[in-house]
Amino acid sequence: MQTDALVLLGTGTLLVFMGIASISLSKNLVKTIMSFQVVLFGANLALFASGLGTVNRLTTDVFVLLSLALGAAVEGVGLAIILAVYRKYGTLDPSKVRRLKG
Amino acid sequence: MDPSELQALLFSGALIGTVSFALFTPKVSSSLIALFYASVILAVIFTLYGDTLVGLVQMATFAGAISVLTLSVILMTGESRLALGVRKLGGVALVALLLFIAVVFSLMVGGGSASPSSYPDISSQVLVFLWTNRPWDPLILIVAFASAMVTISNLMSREP
Amino acid sequence: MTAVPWLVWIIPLVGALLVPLVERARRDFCRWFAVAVVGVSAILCAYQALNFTVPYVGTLGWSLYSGVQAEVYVDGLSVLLALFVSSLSFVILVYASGMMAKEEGQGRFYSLMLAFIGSMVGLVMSGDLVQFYLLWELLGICSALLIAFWWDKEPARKAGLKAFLFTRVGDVALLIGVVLILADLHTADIPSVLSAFGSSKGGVDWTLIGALFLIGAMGKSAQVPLHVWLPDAMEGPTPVSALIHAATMVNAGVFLLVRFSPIYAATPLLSTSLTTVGLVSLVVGGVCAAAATDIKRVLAYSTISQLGLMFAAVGLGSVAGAVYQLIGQGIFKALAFMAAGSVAEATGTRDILSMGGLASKMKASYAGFLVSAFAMAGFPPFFGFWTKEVVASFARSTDLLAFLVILGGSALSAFYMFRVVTRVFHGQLRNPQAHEPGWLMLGPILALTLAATLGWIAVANQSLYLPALNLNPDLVTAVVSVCIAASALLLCYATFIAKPAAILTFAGSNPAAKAIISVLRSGLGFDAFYSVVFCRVYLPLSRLVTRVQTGDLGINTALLLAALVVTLVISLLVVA
Repeated sequence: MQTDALVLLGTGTLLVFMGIASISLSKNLVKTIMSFQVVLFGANLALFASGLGTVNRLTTDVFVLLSLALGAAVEGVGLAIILAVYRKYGTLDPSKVRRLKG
Repeated sequence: MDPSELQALLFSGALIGTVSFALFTPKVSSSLIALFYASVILAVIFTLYGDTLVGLVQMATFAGAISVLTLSVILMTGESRLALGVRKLGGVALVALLLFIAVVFSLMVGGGSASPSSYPDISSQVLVFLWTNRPWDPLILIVAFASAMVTISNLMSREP
Repeated sequence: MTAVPWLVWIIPLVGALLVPLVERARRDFCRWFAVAVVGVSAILCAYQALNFTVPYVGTLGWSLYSGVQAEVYVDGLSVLLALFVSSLSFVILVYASGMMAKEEGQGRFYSLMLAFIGSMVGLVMSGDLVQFYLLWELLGICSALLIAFWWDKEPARKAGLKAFLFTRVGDVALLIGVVLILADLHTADIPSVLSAFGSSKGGVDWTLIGALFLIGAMGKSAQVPLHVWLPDAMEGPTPVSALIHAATMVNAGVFLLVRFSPIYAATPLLSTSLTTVGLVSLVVGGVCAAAATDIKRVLAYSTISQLGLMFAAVGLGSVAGAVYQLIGQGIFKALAFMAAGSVAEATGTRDILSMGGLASKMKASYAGFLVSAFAMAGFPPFFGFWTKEVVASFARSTDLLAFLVILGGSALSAFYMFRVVTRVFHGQLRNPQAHEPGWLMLGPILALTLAATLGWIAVANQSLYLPALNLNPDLVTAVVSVCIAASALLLCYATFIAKPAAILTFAGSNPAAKAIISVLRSGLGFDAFYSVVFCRVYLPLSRLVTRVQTGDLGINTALLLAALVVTLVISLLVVA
């Protein structure tokens, strides 16, 4: 695999882990969604980079397109859920939204 | 270093820098603007490597629709500070920077071993990529471990 | 016409999906729609039964997985039982349309009943083990939801959950057995499995599979020790108890055993354990029924006991006896439940100690219950006499101990049924406001009374499906069992009618009698045992798990990250 594809793959992975860590550490639900967006960036970049040197590059590009569209849809739904949570609980602090705690 | 590598490094560096700024800044609105720039940089990366369509779709959805939606959600729910804490911010930023330098260094030193392009279809190429051992795999693991440790140590100091 | 074996069970299932639409259109049409759907299914079953010549297997041509297909196995047993299930369901749905006319949630009730009927008919017609298992599961779900039909009452919800949990234990065992068969023989086709057993190929451990199927049948058919859900399942509406817990779902376990009876016949360990389970349930159900005060609980324990008799019949080798007993038990028990339902609705209570003398006011229900009692006790010429004879004479020729226990069980069944009859219908009139229910409820009661009285004529005159009923029974067995039933009847008459005060003071004052009666009324301690197990073992474990799944998003995501890291370690470093 060429080096530039490797670099992109590396940054994709880095972004994924940074995003997951940030989801875990965030104290604001909007920031949670933004960190989820960072994870999506990283995943799509990594997927794209893995197809750069191969013969079937178009197939990988199609996968990236699919993943992009789906991730955007999921994020839109997440934003809607955040709005509903805000309306019901009045706060965007995830540690206050804990009705499911057993 | 080839110009193509330099270009890749430059844009990746810019992407990671923007994203770090987005994740570490206390104000949600500046975080949103930084993410907007990050999505533009990512779209540029996609376009530079030949896939114009994906770049355009990325720009249109993330830098367009999702940013506007998030902005509207932020405006509807009120601005609030993120309260990440400066002390933790410094530590996490330092660890991330060190790891980034280590990754870049190892990529320059290491190089690829098994070339997946000899396999006929994409799924076996992905599998070959995943299941062979490469010199940068331990570094990916170090990144993963570091982020996990940072996260969990920060969480242990949280009240339940 | 080869579509008929498929239509008989697909039509009710599709009807179940359409009932909510009918409810939207006009709420009162749900019941007629459901009755019509089951009527169509019953007519198709009758058509299939009349045109049955040779057993065959029909497939749809597409298979889910290699060796698993959608199949119907049309042979004498399945045709007979499909006709039985669909016609009994039709009668009970007519009764339900009368009894549940004013309830909320009509669409939900009829949709679940139709789904249940469709899956039961499909179960007896299915020729593929995976299809059988899927329909078995659907039966369990519909049963649990119907028991908890009045979901705003907590006892009903708990009873539904309890039924689901206890039958689940059996379902897991059945699933393991099906998976083992699929893994070893690479086919789930029932005739192929049976012929593989016959030629003993494939290296399958048939004893293990037989034991697993036995546990599955024990769960579904409420045998000891998994029987505790059935008495509590009486929280559901009476048509539900009549259809599901007397006549069809609990017979699914017996059907499984009968289908795989060559396995049980060939292995002495399996047949002995099957007979033991059946006889223990016969006795336990009988004694608990003799002490119970809720009229539906008496019938529930009676069902447990009669199913025990069927299990013992299969274990002893009398498969035809088990099937006849199944059909007979279904008819009498459904009749008894329907009569009990009309009595309960008329008097407003289910407690037999506060009822009395209803024979003058509710003649049709009295006739129905009386016929059911005579049939279950085994008096000729009712249907129960012939079916009991088949089983008992078979037992007498093979295993004397089993024969004696079966006689004891018959005595108990006669006793508890006549106890209810004398307590509720004879004696002083305690509920003057009782009156007969409407024709929608009476018609089915009368229809089943007729079937219980004269049904043996129809069943005995066919030798196409199963070996014909022997209408000249073994004289010794016949005389002995009739004498036992008659003596139980006389005992009931003497204690409850002639001198009711004596028995009541004895039972109330004597401490030993009081202790025994309270133990019997609590179900012989099985319920208490299971509560202790759940509270001491299961709840602390689940509280331990809540430490991992906290409600905090951050902690959950951090654990996710940890899991991701572990997976990466394994995939990148270990598997090289």
